[in-house]
Amino acid sequence: MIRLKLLDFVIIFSVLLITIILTLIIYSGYNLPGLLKITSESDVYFFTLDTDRTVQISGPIGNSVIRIEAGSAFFTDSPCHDKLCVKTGHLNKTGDWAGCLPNKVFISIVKNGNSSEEAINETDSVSY
Amino acid sequence: MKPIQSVTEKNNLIAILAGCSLFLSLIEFTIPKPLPFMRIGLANIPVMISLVILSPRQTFFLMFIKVLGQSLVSGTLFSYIFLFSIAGSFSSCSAMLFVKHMFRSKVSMVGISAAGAFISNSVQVLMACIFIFEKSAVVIAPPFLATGLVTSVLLGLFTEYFINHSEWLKGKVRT
Amino acid sequence: MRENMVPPALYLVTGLLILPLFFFNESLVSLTLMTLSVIILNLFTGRRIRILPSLIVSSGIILTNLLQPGGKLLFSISGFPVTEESLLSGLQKALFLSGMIYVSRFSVRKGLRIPGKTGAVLIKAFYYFEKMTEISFKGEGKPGLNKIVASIDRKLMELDSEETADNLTETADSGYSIFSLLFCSSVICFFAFLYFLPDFNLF
Repeated sequence: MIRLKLLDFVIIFSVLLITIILTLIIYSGYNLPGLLKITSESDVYFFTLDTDRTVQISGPIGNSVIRIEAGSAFFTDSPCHDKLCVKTGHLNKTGDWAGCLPNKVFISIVKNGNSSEEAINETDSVSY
Repeated sequence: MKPIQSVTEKNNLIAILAGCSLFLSLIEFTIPKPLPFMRIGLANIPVMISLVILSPRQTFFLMFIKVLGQSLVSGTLFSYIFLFSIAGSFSSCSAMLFVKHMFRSKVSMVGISAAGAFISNSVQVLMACIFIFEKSAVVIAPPFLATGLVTSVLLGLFTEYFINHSEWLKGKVRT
Repeated sequence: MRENMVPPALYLVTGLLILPLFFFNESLVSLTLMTLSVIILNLFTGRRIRILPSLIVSSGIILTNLLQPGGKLLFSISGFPVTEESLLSGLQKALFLSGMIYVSRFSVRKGLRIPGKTGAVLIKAFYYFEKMTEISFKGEGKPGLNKIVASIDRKLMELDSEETADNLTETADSGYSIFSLLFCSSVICFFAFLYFLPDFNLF
């Protein structure tokens, strides 16, 4: 009735193969950019590491300035006197963290994707 | 076998195929689907048929008339939906013509259909990620591509059957 | 108001003039008001629109935008964080895209003529489309693939032998009345006004 050719099977098989490979790549989530989580005294913020930007976070003693650049995040300024947070340097791996205790600003890199609950709770327990 | 038809005859043929496409879009519209983005692609059957009776140029023209007609009916001519359907149709049309002219009788409509659907779906998912959704929208790609493969194989089987059994097509087939 | 009180070409011009205002609009307030106005305008001019598909797509857009958290955490629904920037950018995209569809629905009316060969073939295609809807799959015996193909074949051969298709013409536009010009220019002015509305922070 309908005669399929060898090439039909080749095409179907290739499409299937590409779909399976894509599925594995997409659902393994390795291509997601890192996510920076900033916790201040009153609020929580999230920013992806793939867009450069500067964020000002206000705390009890003033504004802390955090810069996101080329996939890493760091404190550029904070109103504390020891500047430990600035000295911590660049954060770029999941789990990296830095904080300015006097100003109650804490930054960390959390897992992107199905992170949410874990990420929120995890840092909550650290900050309190 | 009848020699190549006149311009008006060819245009009539294109119009008939485009009319069929619009009719099939209507049928597709009435079939309930679990997700709004999922499509069967019934309207592409006439485009596949045109591969054996029209020149590549005319196939592209048919594709254009099909997309234009669909957007006029749905009133989406000046929206992103038109861009999506023209990009999807244009890419699948190119892919199908490429496969057809590359392998000629070594491939049937099933392979052509699978290739066309895959290219068209990939282009549309890519566009969706770039223009509409965030990059995280690639998660819709796997189910989209998988259902596309299944429906395109079924459509290809039907089209192949139609081409082999249609009395209407006999005498129209391009040599 | 009846749909044919404004000629199709004028709907098109009006719509095409409003459309860019959606493109270059960053203000959520203005986008919201413009989208609502277009919906009302469609209903007012007798164009039926469907809200549900647009709502489904919009919620999909907002949801996928939220998957990538960004900005201040507003609240979280059982662990799913709803962040300010993501929500706003999702809302903006959703409004922009559904607004575009409604403007398009407003612009494209029955009787709109497309020039040249494309238009001529298109008119024929619509003619054949209507003929196709009369197709019947009735036949002797069990229904099957061969029956379906036979029915389609019969219809196609019937269409092939038709001679009338060549001299299809559209009815001419009925001219531009003062009312239609007035109506369209006020629509354009109203949208220009909405475009320049200041934005304010929602949160």
